Amino acid sequence: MSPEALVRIPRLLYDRVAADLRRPHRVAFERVGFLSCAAASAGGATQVVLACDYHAVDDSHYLDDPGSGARINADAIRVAMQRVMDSKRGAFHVHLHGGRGLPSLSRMDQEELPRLVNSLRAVGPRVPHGILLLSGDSCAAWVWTPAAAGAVAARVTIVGHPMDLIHPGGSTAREALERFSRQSFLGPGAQSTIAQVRIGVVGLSGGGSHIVQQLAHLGVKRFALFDADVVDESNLNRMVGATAADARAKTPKAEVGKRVITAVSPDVELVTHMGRWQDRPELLRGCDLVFGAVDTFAGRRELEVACRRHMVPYIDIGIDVHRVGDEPPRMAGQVILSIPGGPCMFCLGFLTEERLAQEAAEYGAAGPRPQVVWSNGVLASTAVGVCVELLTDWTRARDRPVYLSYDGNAGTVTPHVRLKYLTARTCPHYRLEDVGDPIVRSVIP
Amino acid sequence: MGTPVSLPDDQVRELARLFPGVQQADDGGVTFFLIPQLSLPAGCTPERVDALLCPTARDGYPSRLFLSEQVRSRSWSTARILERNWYTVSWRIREGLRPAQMVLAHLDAFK
Repeated sequence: MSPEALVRIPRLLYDRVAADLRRPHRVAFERVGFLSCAAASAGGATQVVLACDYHAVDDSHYLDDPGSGARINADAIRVAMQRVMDSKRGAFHVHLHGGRGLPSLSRMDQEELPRLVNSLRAVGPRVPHGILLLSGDSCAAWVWTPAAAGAVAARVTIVGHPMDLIHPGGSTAREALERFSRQSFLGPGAQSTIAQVRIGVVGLSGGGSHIVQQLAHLGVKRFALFDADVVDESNLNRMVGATAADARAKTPKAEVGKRVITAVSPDVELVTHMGRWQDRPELLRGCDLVFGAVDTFAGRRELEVACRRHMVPYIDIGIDVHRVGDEPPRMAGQVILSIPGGPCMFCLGFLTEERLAQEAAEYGAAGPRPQVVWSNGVLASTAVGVCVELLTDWTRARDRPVYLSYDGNAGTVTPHVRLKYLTARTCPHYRLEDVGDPIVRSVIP
Repeated sequence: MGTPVSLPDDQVRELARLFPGVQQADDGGVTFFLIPQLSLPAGCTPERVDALLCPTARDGYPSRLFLSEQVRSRSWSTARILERNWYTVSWRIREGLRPAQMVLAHLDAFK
């Protein structure tokens, strides 16, 4: 299995890096910095690298060398090495070349930077290190994993709204134009992005079955599907793709999802886990974006925690039907986009300790939740629309928190009223320093 | 959910004295204490498991103790914290205890 590296950088951090590297310097033509990066495994030979902090090289640590764009002195390298030892994080040398498109390393970069990376590896052999090179509108990264001798060209994701997925080979779309001609308005690079993105879907019954079907039609080619359950008769009122034969045979729901997808696109890269995602968490870490169509608040919290830890945007859908006295049933639901760095489901007031406590108190006593096909379809379609916007930026509605409220009785989807009272656009609950494999520290210094 | 908790130094030292090797880590804005190979009450199988103390309110409980394995036949629920799968039981202890007392009170569930 050939090694694969996924580098994720929050957009706010990426913009900070780019702004710093554009500052003029007294003697150097370019600037240099170091990204501190956490790590996680996405299974097999896939290494996830999560950028969590940036450190500019001190002005006094540049050498006056007209023969190179920027040359830093031994002090700058010592500082970077010390930081690796102290923080147990990987370090990425960062600089910026002019021009547009996918940048490439200069001959001098190719000669000198691997030596610098090897110095970093010597003091931090258990974490990945590497190089991040920016251009005017793109970037490229090379990762040295602890296990590999050489560098791997990484796929870089700028995590934000919108997301940028930057493949080391550039555009990889090979689709027949005819299939996607009606959605070409999404933008010139949109179909390539849609084909590259790896999407996880947790829960493949009512909502999730609609989601995977639509993603397949959209042109998504890389999937991770999770559901521990099998089809039974009571699923047939809403689960797209499930048949009476599946209910009789107790076909795993993940198998039905796979069948629906491959019927539309036989050439997909797809993994299914017929169990809890918690038992194959590495598959989730390798996803660029995750949909959650789960039943419980606790389940949503666990998914959001895992996604935040690995800088994966999470889109949650759900529906509930309430009865109060003799009033007609009220059907309500939500679509929430939880982007690392932005408001989380606690910030939005959707998850609360009170709700979690109430749910825990009712554990095992709630019985089957009401679900119907049309409301599942509305919420799934809305969620897929949020996903497409995030990936393609076709509406250019950037940095807009997404918390949509579904009124099943009125048949409307509107921004949730709580958004009016959302004061902070950042999240105090999930800190950038907590990304990647957990750092466990002694309680006694 | 709030920001990671900071407990008084003497309480943390007491926890470390009673449970050598205890470590701490944050997940989703919550501070947890990881106790490696905690000794369980007599009759439990296995006799020792890793344990995770959440000293703050969670799921309607004033504190919770999670174990790395199920140790007796009773109703368990699962939780994923700090990238590990844990098991816990419905067991409410009184509020206002120190972290070391919390662990001991939670262990009463397995006697």
